[in-house]
Amino acid sequence: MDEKKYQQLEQQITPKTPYLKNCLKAFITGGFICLVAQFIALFYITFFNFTERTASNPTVATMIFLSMLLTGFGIYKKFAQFAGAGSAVPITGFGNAVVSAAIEHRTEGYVLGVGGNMFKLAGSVILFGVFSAFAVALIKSILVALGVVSW
Amino acid sequence: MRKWLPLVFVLCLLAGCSTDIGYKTVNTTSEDGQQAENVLKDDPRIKNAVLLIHDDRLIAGLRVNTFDRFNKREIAKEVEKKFRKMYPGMKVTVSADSKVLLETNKLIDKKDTEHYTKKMKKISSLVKEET
Repeated sequence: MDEKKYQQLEQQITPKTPYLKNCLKAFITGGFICLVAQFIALFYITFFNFTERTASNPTVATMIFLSMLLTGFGIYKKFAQFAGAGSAVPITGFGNAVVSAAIEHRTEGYVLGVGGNMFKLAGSVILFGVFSAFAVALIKSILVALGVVSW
Repeated sequence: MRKWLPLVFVLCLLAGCSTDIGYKTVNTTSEDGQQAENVLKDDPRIKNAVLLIHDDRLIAGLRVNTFDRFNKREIAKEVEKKFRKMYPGMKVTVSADSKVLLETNKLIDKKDTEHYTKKMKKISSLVKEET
């Protein structure tokens, strides 16, 4: 069988990726995660001295903590299989990436295994997150200096 | 049945989100509080507001319409400017943050006039917090 024929056969047999279904699943589950976070934020606003502006920090920390716990118990994996990008894009995906890498390399020891590989995935998130935050802040600073927008 | 349970649960949770306070004004001073309330009522972007005037302080907690939430800080600043003109010499705090609305509303419902000043100071300091 030559290469072309094989490729044709492969294209015929391979099931089509359900893009629309995946998008819908990601949209619903990602939205659900945000809904949970909104309730946590409301909890902090109602019962503690946090305003809408300051409640975001403890909310983010709580969401990361919850996703780390769920990853440790193996629940987040099942959820992510269904949700796809809907579970990877929110902040919970970051917690999942850190802990799953740590669990995976646990057998190599704490220092070189867990410590060295913990931020294998999350490292890029931190790097590009910090860089994009810097770029956005720079643009906003320039716009404020020019008087286009205010802080 | 089990399929519908999560949906029912979420809907029950969301039912708690509907808060309709309307417009509340409490004024313990000799100043005219009605003109401030009229400013809030006349603004079509504001759907709920709680106003408390006590001693030398004025606190207003606003809730703006959903799509106006993008400019809620600007709306609060506008209202604050108007209030500062109306009540010169008063310490004015206006915020569209739900915490301010919640706390001011709680303060009014408790009717604890002795602790108004202390609590109002606290609410004002909360608004100033950045992180």
